[in-house]
Amino acid sequence: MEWKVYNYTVEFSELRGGFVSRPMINLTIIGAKKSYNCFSLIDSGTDSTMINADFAELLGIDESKCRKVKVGSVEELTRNGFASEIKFKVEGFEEEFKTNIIFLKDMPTAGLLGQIDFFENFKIRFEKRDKKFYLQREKN
Amino acid sequence: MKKNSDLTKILNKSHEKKWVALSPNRSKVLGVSDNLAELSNKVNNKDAVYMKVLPSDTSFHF
Repeated sequence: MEWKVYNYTVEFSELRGGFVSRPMINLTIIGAKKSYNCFSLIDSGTDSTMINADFAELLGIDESKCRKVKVGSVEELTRNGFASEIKFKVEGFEEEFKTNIIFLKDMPTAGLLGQIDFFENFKIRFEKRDKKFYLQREKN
Repeated sequence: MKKNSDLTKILNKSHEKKWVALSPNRSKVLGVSDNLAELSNKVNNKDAVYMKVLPSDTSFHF
């Protein structure tokens, strides 16, 4: 299978040289009636894929009917998210995936693509020096 | 479709901590809002790419 190549996304940063580059990719979240494109960060330190809960509202997902999930971070804080089964597609690939995604309120970003779903389904090669990363579909 | 990867050309301080809708090739900002649902209604473009812009003065871990 071929590797697909993507550019790191460059944004302003006041912290280091004026710029920061991050491995970001578009995730199309497929709802019952509509689909939405969620520009997400690939994050190997995240367990499950997490999407900002604002997307749940767009998709018509009723939080009260979803399973509650504890979400922890390095600060040892624990917050509550909620899980719902959705379908999604990854930029550059036609295949649809079905999974339980965790929706989390007040995330500073749109989405985090973690070990479950993303890293388990794709080989990922980061080449930060060249500001490029590569994906290859990995079937079990 | 060639995608723009340099968002410094289109995003600035005013977009930080807000939702933005980008054109499908990510070369233009179609709209900005504090509220994703409002933004989606305003932009009304099924191919728009939504992102939340991180503040530039913060180092993030997730």
